Amino acid sequence: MKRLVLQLTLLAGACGLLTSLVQYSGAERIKLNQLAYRNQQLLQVAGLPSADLTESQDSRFLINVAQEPAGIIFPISTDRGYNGTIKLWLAVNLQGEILGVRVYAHSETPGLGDKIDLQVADWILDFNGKSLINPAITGWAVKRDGGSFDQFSGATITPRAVVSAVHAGLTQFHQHQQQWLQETP
Amino acid sequence: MSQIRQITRDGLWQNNPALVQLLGLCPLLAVSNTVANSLGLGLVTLVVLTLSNLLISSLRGQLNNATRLPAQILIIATFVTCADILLQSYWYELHQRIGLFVALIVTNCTLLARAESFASRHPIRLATLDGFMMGLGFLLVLILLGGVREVLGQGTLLADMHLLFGDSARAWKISLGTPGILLAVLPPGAFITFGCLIAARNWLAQRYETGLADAAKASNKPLIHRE
Repeated sequence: MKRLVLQLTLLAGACGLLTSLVQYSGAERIKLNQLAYRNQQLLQVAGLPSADLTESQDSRFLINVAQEPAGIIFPISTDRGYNGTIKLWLAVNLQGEILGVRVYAHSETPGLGDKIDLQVADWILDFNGKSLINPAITGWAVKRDGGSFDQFSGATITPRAVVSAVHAGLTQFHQHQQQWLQETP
Repeated sequence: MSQIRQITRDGLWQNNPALVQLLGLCPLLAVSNTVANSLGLGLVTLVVLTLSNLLISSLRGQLNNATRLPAQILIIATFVTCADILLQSYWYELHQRIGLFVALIVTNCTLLARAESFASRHPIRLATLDGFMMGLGFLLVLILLGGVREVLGQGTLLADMHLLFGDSARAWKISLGTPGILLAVLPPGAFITFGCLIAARNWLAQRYETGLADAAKASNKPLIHRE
């Protein structure tokens, strides 16, 4: 009996030691990989795969192209969707034009509201190049409300929420641009 | 020598873990939507199965009926955890796709079945070979399934191989230009494709056996005649 307990304890200890060693030796690399992967995903939002990212504050990221600031990526969200919070990344250049918008978390109805997701439809790409003055303020709405963005048949609430969230994000950027560009982590 | 041949035949064909024993189907069906994903999970399974068989066989003299099972699970879980960490260190993007199922290899019945029914009763050399051949049989079925589903579902072959082999492997992708059938990508498509593979294997095995029987009959005929 004693021998069996000792055997299993020894085996468990050896297994634990091996796992810890592997974990310890890989930890640094894994952290770097996670950062690189996250940056790569974010830069895809901005459509600038070869740019650099530096994290500033409140999960905002400065985009640098050739050491020069080229824009900011920051998270926005809205609760006015059909179901739950819709979370998005918004990338804006220094002129206040949208480089890209991506939904990264939502629970909208599959087949209807989920067309805001790039994996489902290209609708979200319509925002590229838009700014507070293009279209003018009346255009920042879905077509049913007299604006210039498409709604989906059967789902108006979701795109309406996204359009107003993006517009609010642009307004936020306009107000805080100077401060956001200067802040450091 | 004949034992080595028998183990090889068992792993790859006669007693294939996926097509005949129908073990480890959860990762098999969930991951096999492209060749790259299949190859990733299949290779991890192959390595873990070979190593766990090796270690369990070398400890078989020390363990008795009471300690064998916990020891086997402990060893398998250790190798899977290490494989998972190594995957995160060196193939991070691949891990993002198949990571969930790498951890689930612990519960892949193939591993425990081989440990209990073979490795704990055979010498190290044979047990290691058995682990390797069973792993290879599993890997080959995964790749076949992944290949068929990728062609049907996306109209490509060998897409995303850079996840395993680095950037130069991006060029390996073959676009067939055929329209993708969504069904093949979804879980039901995995079941249907897998069913077809099992049917094909059974058909081939049956044909081979009838062929053998016919040959035996033909060679026996003169003998019966004489009697």
